[in-house]
Amino acid sequence: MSENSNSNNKKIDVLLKEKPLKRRSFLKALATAGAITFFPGKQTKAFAGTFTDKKDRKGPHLTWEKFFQKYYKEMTPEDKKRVFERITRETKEYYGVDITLADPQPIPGVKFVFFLNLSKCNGNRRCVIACQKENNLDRSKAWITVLEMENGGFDFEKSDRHYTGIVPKDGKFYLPVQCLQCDNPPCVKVCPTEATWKEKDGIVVIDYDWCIGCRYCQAACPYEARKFNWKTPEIPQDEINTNQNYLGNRIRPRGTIEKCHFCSHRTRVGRYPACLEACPTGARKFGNILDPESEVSKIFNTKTLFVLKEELNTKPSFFYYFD
Amino acid sequence: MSQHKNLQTDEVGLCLKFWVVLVLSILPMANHGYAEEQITIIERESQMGFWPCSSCHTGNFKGLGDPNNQHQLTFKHMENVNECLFCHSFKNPERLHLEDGTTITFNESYRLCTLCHGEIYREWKVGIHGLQTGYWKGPKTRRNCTQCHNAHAPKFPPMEALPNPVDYPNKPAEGKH
Ligand code: HEC
Ligand code: HEC
Ligand code: HEC
Ligand code: HEC
Repeated sequence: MSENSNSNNKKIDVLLKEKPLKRRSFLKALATAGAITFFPGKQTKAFAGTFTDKKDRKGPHLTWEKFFQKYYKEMTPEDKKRVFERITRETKEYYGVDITLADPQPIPGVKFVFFLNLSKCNGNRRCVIACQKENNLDRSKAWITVLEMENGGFDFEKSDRHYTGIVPKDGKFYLPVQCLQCDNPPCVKVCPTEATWKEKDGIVVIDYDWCIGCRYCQAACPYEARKFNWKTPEIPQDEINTNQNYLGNRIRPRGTIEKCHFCSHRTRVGRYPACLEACPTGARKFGNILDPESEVSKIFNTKTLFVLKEELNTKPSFFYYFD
Repeated sequence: MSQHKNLQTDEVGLCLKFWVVLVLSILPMANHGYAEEQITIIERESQMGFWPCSSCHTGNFKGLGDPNNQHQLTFKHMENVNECLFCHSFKNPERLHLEDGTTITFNESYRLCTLCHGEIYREWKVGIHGLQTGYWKGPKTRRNCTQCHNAHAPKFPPMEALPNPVDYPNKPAEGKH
């Protein structure tokens, strides 16, 4: 959160202008690399996991099967079955675990929102670690960043994300930031391969097999929510969460972007996200804003909510409040 | 259901299947919010260090010496009330009692807190205060007040922060190569 919003705005503008060009240049790059050039449009699948640092030979190899894979949104059930089988097999080969891979769909009539009570949050980072485990992150990475802020304002320059020890500290409050699942997401707009998009329930998902690792989305996100896999994730075998979603928490290949997806593998079957359940203070509230009986609707009606960097008009689905 | 097993006719079986499927598919729709009975409040008694009280307190509270010494309590709740039997039932050590004399178990201690914290209780009852886990769209498990607040010193305790796994955001971990 250290860059100020203006420079981010500019970055986004630049990226948006460049978008059509970039796509062409990806095709060119593919052609010169001697890759297949006769795929039109979305079929120009580049390859995840080829962001090569030659020394790092670890991680599932790029196979022809993967290379010829279709765009997720165009996959038939048979295509999906084949792809899921491939990923399940590769995960077994590389990580030695049997996973259950699925792609739960948005529930009709559901729009997810996340509310966070900053009066309750005490910065203990239980959510950060629970998220890391639930979503099969490399153990040196996190999707949730908790900022220790000076009381009395939102000065990101003065925030500290590496605080340690007993919390809460005097004169501070704690601001957890993760993907805000914007309704007007700058990250989605800049993606040259349409590997990331917004779904009906509000979740912004990523097809990691379609992501080429260009990191435009990372630059476009004003909240630093998107993280890049520089290497194949290292996860202790017995800690791998085997309940995996193709567009969500499956183990990401090296060279792809990843971020919070509101625990779509849990929330789309009705469960609460992992970070919420791990929070000992009860600061996190999640649910369907279209259901007037839900906790979130009741909070929406009684508390004053706000979003981060409202001036950017990103329209987050993640709100904060004090009470 | 077991009675129906004896009825062998196909029609009955089919009819039954149809209704079961219909009801099952309608239920989640009708049940957009959540009914109160879907909420389980985690019980306290089994988690309490001194449980069962009856192992020392037989009958009522009389005649055991200085309470603060035995239980090593620091009482920091309600400045002018340090009268234990304000909340604890004098008739039965394993119960609490409300202002009207009703006795309740420790699992229902939220009913005691309600007497003075009505506002928070109302929020807790709809899931705004406190923590619910399980299903946003289904059965939930809710924490009792005393799971988070020590009844005798209810201020939420400070805790150790877990370390941030990310030392240098978004950079490769250099040292590991
Ligand atoms: C290890 C034995 C022991 C156990 C178990 C025990 N207590 Fe006590 N408790 C004592 C002693 C000793 C006293 C001092 C009594 C006194 O001064 O009247 C005491 C005093 C008290 C008092 C103060 C009574 C008064 O008259 O002021 C309360 C209230 C109390 N206990 C509640 C409990 C509850 C509730 C439990 C069960 C959760 C419990 N105790 C379990 C030993 C025990
Ligand atoms: C505000 C009402 C209130 C007052 C006043 C109060 N208690 Fe309690 N006490 C409770 C509640 C509620 C519990 C159940 C806590 C739980 O769920 O763990 C409890 C639990 C206990 C326990 C069992 C704790 C455990 O972990 O095993 C003891 C012992 C106890 N009280 C003793 C006392 C004594 C002694 C006093 C007087 C100094 C006292 N209490 C005053 C409400 C009160
Ligand atoms: C007889 C009235 C009464 C009852 C019953 C009561 N409280 Fe309180 N409580 C108070 C008052 C008065 C204060 C504010 C003064 C204080 O903090 O001492 C307070 C303060 C609190 C606080 C804020 C403490 C802080 O320092 O921030 C919490 C939390 C709390 N109560 C929880 C509970 C819980 C949980 C119960 C049920 C076990 C309960 N109370 C039962 C009267 C009550
Ligand atoms: C999941 C844990 C949790 C549960 C369950 C819970 N609380 Fe709290 N409560 C908190 C936290 C965290 C705070 C904020 C603490 C702080 O500011 O130091 C708080 C604050 C409070 C306060 C102080 C209010 C204020 O505005 O300062 C009261 C009173 C209180 N709780 C009562 C209750 C009562 C009564 C219940 C049960 C009906 C309950 N709590 C259940 C975690 C919980």
